[in-house]
Amino acid sequence: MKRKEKGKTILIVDDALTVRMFHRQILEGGGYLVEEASNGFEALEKAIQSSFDLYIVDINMPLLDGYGFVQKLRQNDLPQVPVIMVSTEADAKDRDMAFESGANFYMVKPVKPEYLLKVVHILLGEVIA
Amino acid sequence: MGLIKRQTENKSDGIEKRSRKRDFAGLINQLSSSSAKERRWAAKDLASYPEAARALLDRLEVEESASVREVIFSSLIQIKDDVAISGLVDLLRSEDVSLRNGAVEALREIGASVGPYVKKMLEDPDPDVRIFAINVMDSIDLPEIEEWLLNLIDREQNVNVCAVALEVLCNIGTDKSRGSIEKLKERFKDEPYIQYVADIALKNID
Repeated sequence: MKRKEKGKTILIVDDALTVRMFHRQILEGGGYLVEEASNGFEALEKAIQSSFDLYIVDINMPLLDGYGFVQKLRQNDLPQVPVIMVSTEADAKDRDMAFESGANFYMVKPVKPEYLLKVVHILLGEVIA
Repeated sequence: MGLIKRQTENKSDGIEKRSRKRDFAGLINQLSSSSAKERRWAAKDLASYPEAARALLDRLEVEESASVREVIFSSLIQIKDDVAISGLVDLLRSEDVSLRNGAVEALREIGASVGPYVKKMLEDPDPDVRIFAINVMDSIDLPEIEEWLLNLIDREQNVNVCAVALEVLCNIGTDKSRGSIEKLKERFKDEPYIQYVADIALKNID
């Protein structure tokens, strides 16, 4: 799958190193620039310092979890860009909580590369070639 | 005269008031105070009373102040007896994400002595609880953990539980992990993430 627009930056927020590496590989393969954070606080600092086009956020993380990060992101005077929340939990309740906290999309782990890229393209309003 | 009166008030509001309540029964009462500051002090002081573990755990379930929760977790880490550890392990089943994450962090902080408790959680019917148990094991320095995780992945059907176990095996796996990891790769050959993380684990063993 090829994208028409390049150079958009995505912040991956997950406490598991291998998950961040896996998502980075997929997203860089799709032509995106990628940065990483291992918890919600680190992600919030990066969100304040830099500009991102999209966030991919795990729910269960130490210090500040995914819900908390997205709530703070939405409450702050920061660009309101799309957020994909990822979790091992497929319950409707978790999905509802993700949307209530401000997420735009909810994805159950383990993520399939093609599916992740497709959702990213759609949320970024890109044309898929 | 005004100065003298003020000194008396300060003493009454400060040192005297608090010292009167620092016995066990007083601290337990203070744990339910309407003042978050009082609850925080009580939680901190109760770390010196191992018999306070149950009361601290009960308070944790209803406590809404993040700073008080933090102090309660800290006191439970200091107490770290059977009641405290069992209570923290039970919190891995909580629907409250911050409470659950706080329990994971506290159990990690306590360290090796939580091993046998967390091992039992690998048998929990809820896959999320099994995942949180593995999250705790990730930070515990116990030689048995590799074997526990291999026994788990040999029979585990939930892909996310296997994925999290593999993430830990990436760091602690030895040559004896190789067979189980290769079998897991074969069982989940249609799951790209399992293939990815299993390859890292195998590479790290090499």
